[in-house]
Amino acid sequence: MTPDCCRPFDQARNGLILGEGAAALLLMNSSRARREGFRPLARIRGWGAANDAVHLTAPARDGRGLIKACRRALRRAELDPEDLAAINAHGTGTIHNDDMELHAFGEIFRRRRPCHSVKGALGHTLGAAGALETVIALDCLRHGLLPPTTGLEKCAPRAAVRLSSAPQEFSGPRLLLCNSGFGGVNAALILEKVEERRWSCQP
Amino acid sequence: MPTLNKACITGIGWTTAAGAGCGRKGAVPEWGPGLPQPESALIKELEGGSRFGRLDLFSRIGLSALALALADAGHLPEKAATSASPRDYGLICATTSGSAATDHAFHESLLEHPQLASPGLFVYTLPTSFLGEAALRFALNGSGLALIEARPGGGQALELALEQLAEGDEEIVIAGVCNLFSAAENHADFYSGALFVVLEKYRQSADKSRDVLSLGKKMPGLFWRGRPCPDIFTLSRRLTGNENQERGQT
Repeated sequence: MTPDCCRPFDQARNGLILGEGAAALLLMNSSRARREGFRPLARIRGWGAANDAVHLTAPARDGRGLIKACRRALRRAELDPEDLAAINAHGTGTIHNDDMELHAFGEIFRRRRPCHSVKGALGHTLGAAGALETVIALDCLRHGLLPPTTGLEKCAPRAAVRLSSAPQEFSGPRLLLCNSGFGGVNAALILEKVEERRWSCQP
Repeated sequence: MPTLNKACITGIGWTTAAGAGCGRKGAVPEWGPGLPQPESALIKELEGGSRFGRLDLFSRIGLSALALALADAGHLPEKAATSASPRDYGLICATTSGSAATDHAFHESLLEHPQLASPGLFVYTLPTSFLGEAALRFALNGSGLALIEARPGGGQALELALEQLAEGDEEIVIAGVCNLFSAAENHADFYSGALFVVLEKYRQSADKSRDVLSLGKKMPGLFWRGRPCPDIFTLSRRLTGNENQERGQT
């Protein structure tokens, strides 16, 4: 835990703060959504999960579990890493988690792309973090805009992604979300914007 | 897209208030009120005593059942996990209680000592934590997923395991249920305990005579040897040859 404030991906980051929150999402397959007249906020294109099997509380330094989870999500989605426009990182503000994520993104992506963490603003809501960040990601896709990474002043060196304390625009219909948890569990989710025109045209 | 949603069941293990056990013939998983005592001699032997007692009760219950299922399938590593090669096995746990008991205990410790909240509890405030323990101890680096279900059943965990095997993510998935209810919740089918089965990818040429779990082609749901199998408790009774026993009958 940080004694002052949470600074995801900052050079001076020194821990997380706990947050409280809740989120709920309604999931259904596309044929049912169409049949019952729902207009989807986004489509889950792919997901992946993997264990580090390295340490109960510390992430694998080489990001092996997160890399595997992201690659599984990409394989399920039948996408290339370059097809992803932006990243919602786990970004806890701890030294090792953020290092691990930056290393993993460097392994997965060939070029830098916009990335952010909400935990400087909301804190780490533990079991609720994945759902809360998915709700935020839906709004990001709608506006083509990532929120600021609160607490970020001086970005960690050689970051393989583009981080900012200001909002960042991005162009593209797909966003990657990552979360990691105690026990070395990692999860990745690829969300895709559903264009209303295409949704209504598709059979 | 998955084309063959079938899997062979090669191991089963459980920890309930009535005791811990494994194996498809002879032993019977019995469910009833009370708290499981996962520190059986068998568990101690499997664990080598390493840190097991420090885990929260939810994790000990889940980990012991998972270890027993792996042992029954012949998949426990001979050496300590740290020296074993990682294996691409997936872990899926359905839970109704989740880690709520540990979350509550952590919250209490936070109120009591805001600066000294128990790190030993904090680590187990997620229902996936014990899956990480299993991954570490048995060198498993496949997926680790906890599914929340309204009442204990485990059907969704089994269906997801079949999907993952069909998708090719993993060749082996250990799936099941783990719950720790308070005494007030401990009624009807809400009994504390864990039950896991080891599912292996079905190979048409070799697996015709084995215990096969499948997803229905024409009808939704799970089928075991062609018969509907709504939940993991029904499956366990059929696997252990105790079909007529009702769940909760001890």
